[in-house]
Amino acid sequence: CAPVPVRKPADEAALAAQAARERQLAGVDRWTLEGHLAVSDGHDGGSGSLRWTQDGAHYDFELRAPITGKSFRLSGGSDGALLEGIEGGPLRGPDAETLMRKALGWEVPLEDLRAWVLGLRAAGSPAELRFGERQLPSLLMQDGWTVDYRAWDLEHQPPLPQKVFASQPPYKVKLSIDSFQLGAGPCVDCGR
Amino acid sequence: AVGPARQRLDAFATGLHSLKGRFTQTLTDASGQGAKSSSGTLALEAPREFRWDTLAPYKQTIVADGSRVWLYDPELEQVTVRVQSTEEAHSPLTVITDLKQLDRDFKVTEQGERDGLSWLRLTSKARDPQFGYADLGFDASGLKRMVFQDQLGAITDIRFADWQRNVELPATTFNFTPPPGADVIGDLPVMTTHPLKD
Repeated sequence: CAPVPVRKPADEAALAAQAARERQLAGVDRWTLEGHLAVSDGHDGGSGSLRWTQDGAHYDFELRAPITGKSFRLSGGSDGALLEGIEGGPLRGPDAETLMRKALGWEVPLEDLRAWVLGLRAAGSPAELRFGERQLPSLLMQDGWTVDYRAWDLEHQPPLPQKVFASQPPYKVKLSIDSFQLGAGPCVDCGR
Repeated sequence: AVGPARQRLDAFATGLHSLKGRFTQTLTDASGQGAKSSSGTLALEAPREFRWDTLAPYKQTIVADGSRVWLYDPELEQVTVRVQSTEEAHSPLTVITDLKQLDRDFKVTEQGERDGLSWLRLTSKARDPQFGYADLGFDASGLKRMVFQDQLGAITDIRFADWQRNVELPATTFNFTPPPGADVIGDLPVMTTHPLKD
């Protein structure tokens, strides 16, 4: 049967390890994630292959559904978001989360996910942690979501999540991460 | 007169009611970099059933049973179900087993020789097709490659191998039962509900 996940309470050592990981990754504000995403609200949703590039506040989030070829690209930054590839042509909106909710009916906490996919707590609100092996988070609770870290890439230093299942019933956002390219931005908002 | 590629399509597709083979697929995005490849097996049966099992680097199963398309992601424990709308049922791959349907759904034009294959372009006549056109490449033995572009400009290039024509396919090939524990969402068939025995 499936291994029972380890959910140890946050003791001093584990919190120190997490703080060290967060310091190591703090400088990283440019990265590209390749993997697969599944979104659901219990009735509907979707899934497909994902390429997500983050460059400071600017993001490019491309999902491609196989065979049906239904793909969409969500891009933008602090100045608003653009959704392309859906029926009816490009759509603009104040931010990515609102656009996905309105145009696709998907509930995806993209802002928080930016930190969660790196195994970090999002800034600006309290977060509770439970830990598993090697003092890595196994559960992170923040902003009403429960983020379950099912697998980690231990070869990377510091380790990075490989399987992230976030849920806020009835919503679920699940990511399996095939690769991460991390880059520390030479300058934060290079004249963007 | 019938062009060279069309002749090869006709020779390949005439009398074909089921097909099994292997694929390798490469996806290159609009900017031409970041090619991602995957491979697996596929099966087709007239008139609208197909199965597409991606085996590497990532496992994923797509089964079209004639009325619904089931997309199963074992890694993400999710099954997304869609009614097999006419577009999906008549994608260039599925109409290979029904030439009359192919000519109804697509305008067919010769594209000449390239990469050792003779090419045919199928341009969809559908109002809002998933992809505007698909190019099919044939050699003497039949269909070898299929290339199409999606709405974001990414190019999918599929190479086929080890075709087995009109083989007996087990009935289970084209029906899909969601595994326990997976989230099943989308256009579910109406389940017959059993009273809960508590």
